[in-house]
Amino acid sequence: MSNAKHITDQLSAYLDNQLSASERSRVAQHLRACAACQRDLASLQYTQRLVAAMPAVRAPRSFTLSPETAAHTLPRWQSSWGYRALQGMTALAVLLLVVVVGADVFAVNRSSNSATRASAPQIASAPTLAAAAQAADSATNESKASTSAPAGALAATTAPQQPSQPTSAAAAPTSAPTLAATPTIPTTRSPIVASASVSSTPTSTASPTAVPTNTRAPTATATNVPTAVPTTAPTRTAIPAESVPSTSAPNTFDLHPIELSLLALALLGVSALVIMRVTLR
Amino acid sequence: MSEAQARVERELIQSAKRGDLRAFNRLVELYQDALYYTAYRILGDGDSAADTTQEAFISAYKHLKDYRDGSFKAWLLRIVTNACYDYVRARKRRPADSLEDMLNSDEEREPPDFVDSREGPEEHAARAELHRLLQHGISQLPDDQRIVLVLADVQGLSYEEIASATQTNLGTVKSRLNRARLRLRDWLLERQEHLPEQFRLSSERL
Repeated sequence: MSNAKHITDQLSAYLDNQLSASERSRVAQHLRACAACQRDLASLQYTQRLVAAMPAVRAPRSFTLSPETAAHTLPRWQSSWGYRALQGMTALAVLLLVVVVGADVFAVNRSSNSATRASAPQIASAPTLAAAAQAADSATNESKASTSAPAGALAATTAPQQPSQPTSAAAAPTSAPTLAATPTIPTTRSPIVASASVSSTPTSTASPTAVPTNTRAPTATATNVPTAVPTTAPTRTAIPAESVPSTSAPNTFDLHPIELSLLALALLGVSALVIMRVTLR
Repeated sequence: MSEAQARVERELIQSAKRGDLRAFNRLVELYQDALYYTAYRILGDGDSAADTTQEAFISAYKHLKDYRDGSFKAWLLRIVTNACYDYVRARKRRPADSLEDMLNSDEEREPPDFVDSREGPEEHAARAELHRLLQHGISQLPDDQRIVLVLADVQGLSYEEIASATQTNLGTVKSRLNRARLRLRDWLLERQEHLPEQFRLSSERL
C-alpha cells in the first residue's frame, strides 16, 4: 500500500475507461502497489461480467399499439364523455347562433332597405364564426392543441367584435340602433338621393344622435361608397333623412333573447374548453 | 447499427411523428426486446415488466414530438426507466406485494434459457441458478443504483447515455454505478455457498 488512500471509488470508472489520463495513471500506479485494491478490481470485474452474461430476455408478446390505443393517448380528460359533450354542444351553439343571426339579418334586410349594406359584412362574418367553431373543435384533436386552441378561441371571441355589423350588434345590443342607423349618414350627403322606400327608415328615428356618435360611420362611408357601386347605391340612397320621422321603428336590429342566450352559451363553451386546455395539461 | 439501418430508423421516426401508426409500430418491434429486457431486470418480474413496457411505448407515442435527435434507443430507454421508477414508487405504496414476496414466490423463475448444446443439463441448471441469484442480488439494490447498473451492465449504455436517461450528471452515474457493483459483489460474496461451485468468487479465481 504505497499510496495511502485506496481508490475503491474509482474502480468502476477505471474498468469502463471513463477516467482522464492523469486519473487513470494515478489509479494504475496505486493498483501496482495495493493488493487489496487489485482484489477489489478483479471481483468487481467478475461481478460485472456475470451481470453482462445474463441471458437476454425476449419480449413475451408484441407491444405494438392498436389504433384504439393510439387514439386514447390523448390525456384522459380530453377523451372523457363530459369534455366531448361540451365540445359538441359548444359547436352546436355557435352553429345555431350563426343560423339565427343570419336569418334575422336576412329578415331585416328584406324589410329594411337600409339594412342591405349589412348583408355584405354579415356574409363575411358568418364563415369566421363557423371557422372559429371548427377551429375550437378540431384543435382538440391535435395533441399540441394548447397552442392552437387559444387561437381558435381568440377567433371565436373576437369574431363578434369584428366590424361586421350584425355581429357587433349582437355583442352590444345597445349599439344596435345606432349601427343600423349608419346608413342614414351617407344618404344625407349623398348626391344620388332617390325617392324610394320611405317606410324602411325607422332606424334614424331611433337615434338622430347616431350621426355624431357613431364612430364607424366615416369608415363605412369611405369604404362602401366607392366600391359598392351599382346595386347598393340606389337602395342606400333611398333613405332621405327628412322622411325619417314619419315612420315608427319595427325593423331595428335588436337582439332576440334566443340570440343572446346562444351567444352566451357559445362564449361560455368556448372559454370553458380553452380554460380546460390551458389548466389541465 | 449500420448506416442503412440508421437511415431507415430516421425515416420511420419522421413518419411516426406525422402520425403514421404503422411506422411507429415498426419502431416498437425494433426495440421492444430491449425495453422489455431492461424493465425485466429493473423490476424483477415478467408481468410488471410487460405492463411497464407497454406503458413506455404509449408514452413514447404520446411524446414523440419531443424527441429531437441522438440515440432513439437511449430515448426509449429513458422513458422505460421513468416508467420503472413510477412503478417502483407505486409498489412501495402497496407493501402487500413487495419485491421480496414476489421474488420468494414459487412462480418467479428466470425465463427459460436457450440450452447451449455444448453444455450438459447439470451445467445448464447451475447457470440458471446463478442467474436467479444474480437477479435477486440486483433486485435488492437501491432503486437508483439498480437502474444505473442495469443500464450500464445489462444494456451497455455509455455513462453519457445513462446520465441523460436518469436525468443526472456524469459524476452521479459514476458513483452510483461503482456503489452498485460493489454492493452486488458483496451480496454475492455473502452467498457464496448458494452459488454453483464453478461461479464462486474464490480467492484462487481472483
